[in-house]
Amino acid sequence: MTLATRTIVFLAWAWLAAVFDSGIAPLLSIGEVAPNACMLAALLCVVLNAAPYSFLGSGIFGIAADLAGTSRLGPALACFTLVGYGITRLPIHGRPVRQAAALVAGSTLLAWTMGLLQYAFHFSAAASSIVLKHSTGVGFYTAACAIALFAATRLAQRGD
Amino acid sequence: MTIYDRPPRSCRRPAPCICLAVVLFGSAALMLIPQRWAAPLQQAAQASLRPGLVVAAALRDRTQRLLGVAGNLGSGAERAASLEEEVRQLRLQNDQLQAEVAWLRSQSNEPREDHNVTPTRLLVQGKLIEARVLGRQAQAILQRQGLLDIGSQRGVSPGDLVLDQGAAEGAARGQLVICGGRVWGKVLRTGVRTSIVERATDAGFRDLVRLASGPRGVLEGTGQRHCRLKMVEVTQAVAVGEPVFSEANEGLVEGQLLYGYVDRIEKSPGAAYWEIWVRPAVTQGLPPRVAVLTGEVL
Repeated sequence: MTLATRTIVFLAWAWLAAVFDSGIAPLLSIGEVAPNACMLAALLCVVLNAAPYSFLGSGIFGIAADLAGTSRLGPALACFTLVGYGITRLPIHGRPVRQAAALVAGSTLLAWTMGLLQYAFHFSAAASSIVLKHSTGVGFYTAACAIALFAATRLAQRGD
Repeated sequence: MTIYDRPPRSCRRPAPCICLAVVLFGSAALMLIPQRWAAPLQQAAQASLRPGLVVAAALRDRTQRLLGVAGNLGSGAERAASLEEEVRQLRLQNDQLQAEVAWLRSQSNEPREDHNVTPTRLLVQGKLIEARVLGRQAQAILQRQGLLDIGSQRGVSPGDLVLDQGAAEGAARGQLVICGGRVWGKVLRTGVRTSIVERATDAGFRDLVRLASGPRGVLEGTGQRHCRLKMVEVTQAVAVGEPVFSEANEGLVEGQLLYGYVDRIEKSPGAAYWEIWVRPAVTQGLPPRVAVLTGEVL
């Protein structure tokens, strides 16, 4: 697949993730917390793909999350790319338990960093305790969904 | 020298850490962009999501319908009973709507089409009690006269907003306090002659409200200049500057009582509800005269 085709595929996935976040994720909410599809897709992209440049794909999901939101552009792009880069440097490929652990750690870290950035730069006017509670909830909920999808992908690969 | 004799051209990709640095630099630059430049980009991106959202809404409705049908399978008697109940409710609603139409026709100046319909009599009517907000000096006078018991268990504390009308005039806990057609707050506690007001911006204040475009939510005081509007789903369209009306006055007064205007809308990643900040319509710190909305049975 050429770079252009790969970029188009990533953009299409990012669009779908943004649609899921706005239209379907609220239906899956528990309390005020819903899974974040852009975050989930970005993490799966780096965990399932062993290429050293796969973090750039997670950056595309970050841009989608920024554009679908209402606060400033940039925080999601920075966080998604940075966490994606961190995961690509870890020796996790071919080791499912480590990959699952990376998904949990990555989603929690992403949710917290984004919450922290929103709070620190006054993108959100909510109280710090609310931001922290909400970020933790989003992180764990997204991690649970990511692990379920990861397990399904593994099972499908084993079936082939 | 032919092209076969030339050494192969080196096609080097930048190292991943350089790519990371470029992306981080780009994101920092994006963060510095003023919001007025970023907003059109975000609006365009959100408009591009619209076809997907329409499909998602259709899928959601279809799934809910299928789940409803699946839930009713094998329970024919229950289904029939629920349908009968629905028919009964719809008939009741129909009767109420007919009565409402009749009353509206009686109120309007247009010629009546149906002369047989008699307007219904109002059961409850809104009544306004004019009140003044007592300052410190007035409170001190009342305290000396024994009309205010500052410091007792359910009495007035320093900093409370005290009105000069109380339970004797019909004020009761939860009634709206209005200032020029706009809601200032609610009655928190009442004494015989006085009552204490909780402003919409005070921490602990909660009321059911409706946005002008239709969605309902819960307005909460934050203890700061703005109120927070909760429980409005992110699937609902909300615009900055949209008025927020009270739901409490329905059936008491005609028209709508304004709480304030939407000042800022936020959506945290993964949130199911908007974070809406409302600018109160009553901007005066202490309005000299207010009115307490009560009702009287006719």
